[in-house]
Amino acid sequence: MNEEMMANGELISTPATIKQDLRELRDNPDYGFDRLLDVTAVDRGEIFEIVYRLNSLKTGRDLVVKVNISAASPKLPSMADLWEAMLFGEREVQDMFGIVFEGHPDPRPLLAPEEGFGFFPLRKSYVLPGRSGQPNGR
Amino acid sequence: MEVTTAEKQLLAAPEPQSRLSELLGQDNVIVTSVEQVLAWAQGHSFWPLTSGLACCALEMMACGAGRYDLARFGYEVFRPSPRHADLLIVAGTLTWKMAPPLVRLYEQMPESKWVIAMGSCAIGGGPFVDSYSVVQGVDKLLPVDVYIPGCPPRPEALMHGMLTLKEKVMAAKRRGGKK
Repeated sequence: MNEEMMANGELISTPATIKQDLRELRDNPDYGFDRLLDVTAVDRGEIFEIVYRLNSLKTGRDLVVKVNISAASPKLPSMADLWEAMLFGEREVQDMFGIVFEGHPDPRPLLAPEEGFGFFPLRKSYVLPGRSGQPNGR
Repeated sequence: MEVTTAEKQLLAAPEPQSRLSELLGQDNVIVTSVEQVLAWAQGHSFWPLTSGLACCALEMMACGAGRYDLARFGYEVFRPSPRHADLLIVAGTLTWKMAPPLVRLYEQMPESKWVIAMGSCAIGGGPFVDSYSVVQGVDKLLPVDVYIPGCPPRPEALMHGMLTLKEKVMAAKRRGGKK
């Protein structure tokens, strides 16, 4: 892992190595990022950026880990076995961005209705229905 | 002038009665139909479901508490089970996530049952009408009988809404129709 990036409090990872990186950050006592604060995503058009925010209870340091994935096939391995806090976080990202977390033990919609919205509200391509009479894009 | 025994007996006798009250042996009798009595009873004793969704629920609670005292009208028996309730007050913002449970609660209520849409959100989405997650009016999912505008409506408005529903229930039964 790049020590310079670590010093900036930000680490850019890749979909292939993200799980390994996060496990290393959690388990290696040199890093000790034992706590997950948040998992969210950003719509950058062609790519989606998944953002993990980590925190060390020992040193109090924060670290942001980012992964870019293709918006055409938004998939990423689930990190739910590293932190249980991922269970809800990844489901929320799944509802809002339509990103599939492969291997998630319980991928039901969390904030969307049981059948799902049929759309992903936090994607830039989603247009609010406004007062046009279209009921919530349904 | 002397009062004869026969006249005394006549004065002590009761007033001439109508044939009906004579038959029933008393004065205070009202002739009506079962339908109207039921409507009168239903209209004067709604059992609302305890179903607050948002801030309107606080006005609903205030309405039931001492200062406004919904019990004056016979509507204070808020039921925690839909099986016991006949009035669903949709008090607050309904989201698409909450919509299936609310419809299920409505379906669990026995007939006859009524729905009040309380506040802007329940009527048409309110300030969240543009949101992706909010139902733009509960009348998209449930048959609403009375709409109470306000954000939130004051307890007096809820009382007025329930009294309006009472009028509706009793008028429908007077016409012989269903609700």
